[in-house]
Order: sequence, then structure tokens, then C-alpha cells
Amino acid sequence: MSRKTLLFLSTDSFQAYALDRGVLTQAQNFSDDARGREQFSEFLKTRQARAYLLTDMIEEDFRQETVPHLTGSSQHALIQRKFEQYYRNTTFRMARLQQRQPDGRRDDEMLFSALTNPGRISAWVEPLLQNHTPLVGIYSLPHICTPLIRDIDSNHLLLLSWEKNAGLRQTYFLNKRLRFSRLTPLNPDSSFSEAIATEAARTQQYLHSLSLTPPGEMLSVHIICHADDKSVLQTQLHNNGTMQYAYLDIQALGRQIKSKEVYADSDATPLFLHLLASKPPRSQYANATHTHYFQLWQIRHILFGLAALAALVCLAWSALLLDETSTIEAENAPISAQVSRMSHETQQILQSFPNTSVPAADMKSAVTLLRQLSNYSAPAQEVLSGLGSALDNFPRIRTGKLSWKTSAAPASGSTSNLPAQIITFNGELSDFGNDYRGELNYLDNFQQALTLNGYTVSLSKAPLDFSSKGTINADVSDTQDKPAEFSLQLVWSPKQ
Amino acid sequence: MTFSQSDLPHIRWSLLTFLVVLGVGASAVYLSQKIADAALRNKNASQQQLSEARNKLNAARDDRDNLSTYAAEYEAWVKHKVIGDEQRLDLIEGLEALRKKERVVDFKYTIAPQAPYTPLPALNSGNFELKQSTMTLQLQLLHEEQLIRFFNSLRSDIKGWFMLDHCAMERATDSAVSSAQLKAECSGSWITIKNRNAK
Repeated sequence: MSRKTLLFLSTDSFQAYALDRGVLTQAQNFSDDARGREQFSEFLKTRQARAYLLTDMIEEDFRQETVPHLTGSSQHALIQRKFEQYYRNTTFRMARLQQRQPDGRRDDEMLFSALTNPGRISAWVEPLLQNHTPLVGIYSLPHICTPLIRDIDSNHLLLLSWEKNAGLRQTYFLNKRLRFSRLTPLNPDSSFSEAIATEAARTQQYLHSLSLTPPGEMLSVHIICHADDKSVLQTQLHNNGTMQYAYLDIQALGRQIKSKEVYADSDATPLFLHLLASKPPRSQYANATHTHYFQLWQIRHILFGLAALAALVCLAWSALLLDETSTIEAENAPISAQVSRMSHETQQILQSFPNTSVPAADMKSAVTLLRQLSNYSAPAQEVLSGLGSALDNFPRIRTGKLSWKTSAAPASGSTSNLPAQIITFNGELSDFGNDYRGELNYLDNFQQALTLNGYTVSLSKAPLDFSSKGTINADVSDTQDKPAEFSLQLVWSPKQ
Repeated sequence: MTFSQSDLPHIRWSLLTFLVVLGVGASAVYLSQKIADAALRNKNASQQQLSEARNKLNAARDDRDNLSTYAAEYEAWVKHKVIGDEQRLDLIEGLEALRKKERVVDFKYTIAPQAPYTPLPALNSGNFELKQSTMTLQLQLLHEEQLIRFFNSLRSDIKGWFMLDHCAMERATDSAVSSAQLKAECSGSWITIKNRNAK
């Protein structure tokens, strides 16, 4: 538990406690005068912990009111109006929503309360502000004791506690919601048990007068006391038809809130201070001016927290990246080793080559190039051999003019990507008689023979133009056979 | 909450701490990222080097396996005056020797200046530049077979590589002047290749 300063302000006294590691130090009393406030200021200079101010004063007023359910600025305006209406003369005022009515317009049931002696409080708040002490809030005892009665099964509950420097505090809860509280200074001549018996009865009458405890309803009175006082109280306080007494062991309550305090008597002041330090309620009397340095303290701690978080995130992020780096480097090491091995082996192979003036790669390059290039021009014998053998089988065909040239591109439809040879064959068909169909068949057979020998053959010029566009001159009386000229184009593709 | 300049000293150290931690932390992350990026780049580079080294090794192994074949063939091409500078004297001596062998009735030739050669379709010539010297031939022949034999001799007897491009052959019209029955006009190129690094 972090260090905290707990301040207890009653009608007649003002005390400061230091809470370190869950233990309250000896109270320091400060007199209600200039010297007391000066001493308090000196105390604050030595202790810059967060401060909680708990008030237990007679001058605290409670008003229950049902108001329309509003939110936001409308609700704020309504509450401010109520504050001005009820508690114009004090800045220490608060409004708590107790519940929303379940039926009808579902109005809000609000509890307005205020510390009506602002001068008494301001006198001690001033040194806190002057010393820049982070004041968490200004609380009143009735408002902080709700956690103590949470588990008590009673609709009408009166909680009694004794604070040595304040008096007897009686807080009434209706359906576990704070309705009203009063503080009675104890008469030094009367005993603790006598005071409780007297004051509880008075409070009951007061509650009856306010019609808060309907006739026939039992008022459950719970008294916070030490085990030693409990036996005395039990002999003096007797249950009756309207009041039923129960005892809350102060030491047991302390354990419930994880207080390490040892309670010597029924003084509940340390118990409430522990309760405040461990479970401070959200509603309190201080305004933004009073808690300004606490908000700065919060900002300071948030910034430190963010710094720690940033450091943690950056550290984790960096660690992840460095881990990733080491993984990559670990993966890289065998690759580098492999590269080195391969380079070494390559070097060894290259060094094993015979010492020639030409690098092996160039030799390979030149030989490969020349091998490819040799396919670009086939020997004339190879190009023309198919034509020659076909001519041998067709003796009536005589060569007129023969030419061939290397094409710039492979033959269309050929699987080879080597240049084709284009052969132009101009020849004549001897003894071309009047049997035109037979002569043309002879030439056609010659073409087929060429095709079988690997050429792609096309007829450029026929021996007789028998198309419809051509002119035919013939002397039917001339029976002498004459040679007929024709032209073929052959394409020869080298085999890859 | 209202925050004024006078409040700044109250949060000065925490703000400074936060900013310093943020700065140092961001720098640490930035540097770590840089280191990780560099490691990744190294790995990629190593993989690239591995690929290259593997290719070089495979090429070296191939070269080792084929070196004897390539070397012999290369030397043959060099001896045949195809690799290296063109040897025109060898060419004309070879052509003259061919004339004396009387493979054909007669022939005339013209060799043009050497020029760069670009094969069609194109070939990757690597480290070598290709050159050609175009030669045109006019031949007088007794029969077609002489032309075939002439080009076979051109290929086998002369140190050089003649790549025939085109040829046209027809009957000689003035056979009364000469015994030639056919005449042919052919052209082609003497091809040489030369290593670009060779001086």
C-alpha cells in the first residue's frame, strides 16, 4: 500500500495520520489557531503523500429529494440550482443519486448534503493548497461507512459509532441507502453504554417524527464497539418491540477491510480512516480547486506509468526484432557457408582447366555459335539433291534456269527455326502435245515427287494458262509437239 | 481541470521522463528494425549469391565436362581461319588453287570489304563479334554437277568458311565462244568471328 496522509477533522479537533504499509502512525493534533495551522504546514512540508480529509462534524446537513431524471448539462444545472437553494453559504456540498424510481416518470431520488461550517474546513484546506499537497477529496463519515452495512440484512438500520475526538455518530440507512446522520458529543460524566441507550432512543423518536420508520417496523441498531465494551453494552441494552441491538466487533471490521490496526477500545476513528484509505467513495465535498494538486499528481503518475509502459513496449518490441534478427542470421550462416563452399569448388574446377590463352567459357561460346551458324547455310548438294533425283525420274522435264537463295526467316509451317532455302525452278516440258490433261498430270506427278523429297512446292507458272482470264491460241491442224515452259517455287527447310 | 503554465513545474520531471523514455524507446525500436532489415537484406543477398554460385559451379562443371570437346573443335575452327582476323591472302590463294584444279570451266569472283554480320534469325553471339566479306561469283560450267563440286571444294580446300547465300544457274547462250554449257551467278560471305577481348 502506498503512503497516504489521512486527516481527521471534527468539530473540536484536527488530527493528521500517516498511513505507511497499512499501518496508521500516531496521530498528530493541531490546535485550531494560527500556530496549529503553522505546525500543520510544517508537517505537510515533510510529507508529500496524497491526503484524504475525513470530517466528522455536527454541521453536516442532509436533504432527500426526488427530482426529474436529467442527464448532462441539464442535470448539472438542476443540481447547482438545488445547491444555491439549500446550501448557498458553503462550497462543501454534494449530491448523490440514490436510486431511480422504478415506476411513474422514473424520477431520481437524490441525497443533497453539505458541510455547513465552511470556515472550519477552509482553515485546514488552505495550508494543503499552499503546500501543493495532492488532496484526493474531502469526505464525511456518514458517506464513507456504507461498505460496513452492505452485508447486514435490515431495511431500517441505525449504525452507531464512537469517535473519541468527535462523539457518538448515528447514521440511519433506509434500504441500505444513507438518509440521515447526526453527531452527538458525549457527556464526559456518562458512560459509553448509557450514552448509546439514551441517544438511540432519541434518534428513534426523531425517525418516527419524520415517519421514516413506520409503526410496527423494527429499527435495527448496529453498534461498532470493542469486545470489552460489548459485554457491558449487552447487559444494559435490551431488545424491545421497536429496537433490536446488534454489535459489530471493531477488530473484525478492521480485518474485513484488511486493516493491520490493533484496536484498543471502541474508538472507530482509525477504522474509518482505514476504510477511507482503502475504499474512498466517488462522491465527496471537495471541488476542482481543492483537488487541483491531486489531479496534477495523477497526471504525473500517469506520465510515469506511460513512460514505464512505453519502455516496456519498446523493450519488448526491440527484443522481438533482435530475436528475429538472430533467427535470420542463424538461417543466413549456412547459406553463406554453402556459397563459400560452392565458390571454392568452382575455383578449384577452373584452376584444374588446362592453361590456354582462351577462357573455357569463350571456347564454349565460340563453338556453340559456330555450330548454330553452320545450320544457317546448307551445302548446295543437300539443298538440290531431292530436285536432282526427281528430275532423273521425269526425263521429259528439262531445266531451264535454276536459282536458290537463303531466306531471312524459317519456312512458314515448318518446325525448324533455321532459315529456309527458296528455290526457283524454271523448266520446260518437252513433247507437249494436244493431250493437255495428260501433260498436266505428268507435271503434277513431278510436283508430287518433289513434295515427297521434302520440298514445299507451288506452281508459279503453268505450261498452259487454262484459267478463264487467260487467252488461248492454238492451231489444231499443227500436230507437232513443242516444249511447254513452266515455273515452280520450292521451299526447302533444313532438318534441325 | 484547468491547467496553467504555473502547473508545468509539477509535472516537469514526469513529462521529461516520459518524453526521454519515448525517444530512447523509439530509437531502440528504430535501430532494432534497421538491424533486422539489414539482416534480412544480407540473407536475401546470400540467397542471391547462392543462386549465382550454384549457376557458376554448374557452368564450371559443364565446362570441365565439355572442355576437351570444345577445345578440339575450337582449335579446328582457329586452324580453319574462321576464328580470328580474316586472312584474305589465304582466301585468294585458295581460290587461285581452285582455279588451277579446273573444277569448273572458269570463274570470276569479287570480294567486298569486310562488314559486321547479323544472322537472321538473330543469334546470341556472346563475347564474339561476327564479320562477313561478301563474295560474288560468276561461273561457267559444263554441267550442274560441277557447281556442286566447286562449292564442296570451296568448303574443304580453302581455309575459311564460305556461307552460300544465293545462286542462279542457266544455260549459256554463247556456247559457241566457250565450251561451257551453263553459267551461274552466286553470292555468299566469308564468315569470321572474333573475341571482343582479343587485341
